[in-house]
Amino acid sequence: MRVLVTGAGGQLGHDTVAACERAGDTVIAADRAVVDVTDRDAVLGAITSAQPDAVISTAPPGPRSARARTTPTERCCERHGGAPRRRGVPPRGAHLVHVGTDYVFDGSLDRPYHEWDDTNPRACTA
Amino acid sequence: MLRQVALDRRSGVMHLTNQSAVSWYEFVREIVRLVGPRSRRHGAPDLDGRPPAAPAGTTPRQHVLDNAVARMTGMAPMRDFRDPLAELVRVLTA
Repeated sequence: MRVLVTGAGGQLGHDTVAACERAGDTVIAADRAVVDVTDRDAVLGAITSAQPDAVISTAPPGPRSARARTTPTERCCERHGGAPRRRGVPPRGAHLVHVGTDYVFDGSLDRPYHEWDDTNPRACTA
Repeated sequence: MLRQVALDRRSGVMHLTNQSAVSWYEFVREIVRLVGPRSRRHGAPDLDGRPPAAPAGTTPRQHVLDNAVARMTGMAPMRDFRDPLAELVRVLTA
């Protein structure tokens, strides 16, 4: 698998790169100096040039307002599929795995949170 | 785990956490236990139980996650948190 890992300079990104390399993947490790995930053009450029099968987004995208439902990385994967469109060739569709945060929950429940529980972050979340 | 999710092209929201719920206090106690006699204790600022990086009033009171989707879709559970924590302490104290 050809995989682009953003946030590769962080702990999770570093370990993700290592795990993918051990598995024999072709890894494009992108830290903040290579790809600023808050910069749409930078994300588009990285995905277009790398043409990954998958993007593993470990970089926190920064505070997100309640109205912003997607990040630049998510929008680029949706629109461009990880490969430039060529005549007669459909885009390849890179699969995006984005790491979020449990701080989307307000902690008011007295049981473990399921994926389908309502979110209610107490502050802007990454 | 992240690689496996990408490889399987799984979609949707999925919780992926190590097994066993633990408070921040218990987590630190486990680290101290693992480090053993080499650990040194310093006076800690009054954090009122909050992890130091979180701005005041933003940390959920409890945020244990149930890995329900992973479990229901047949993914093997991640290890108990004590195992990778012990590995990390060994690496950091080597």
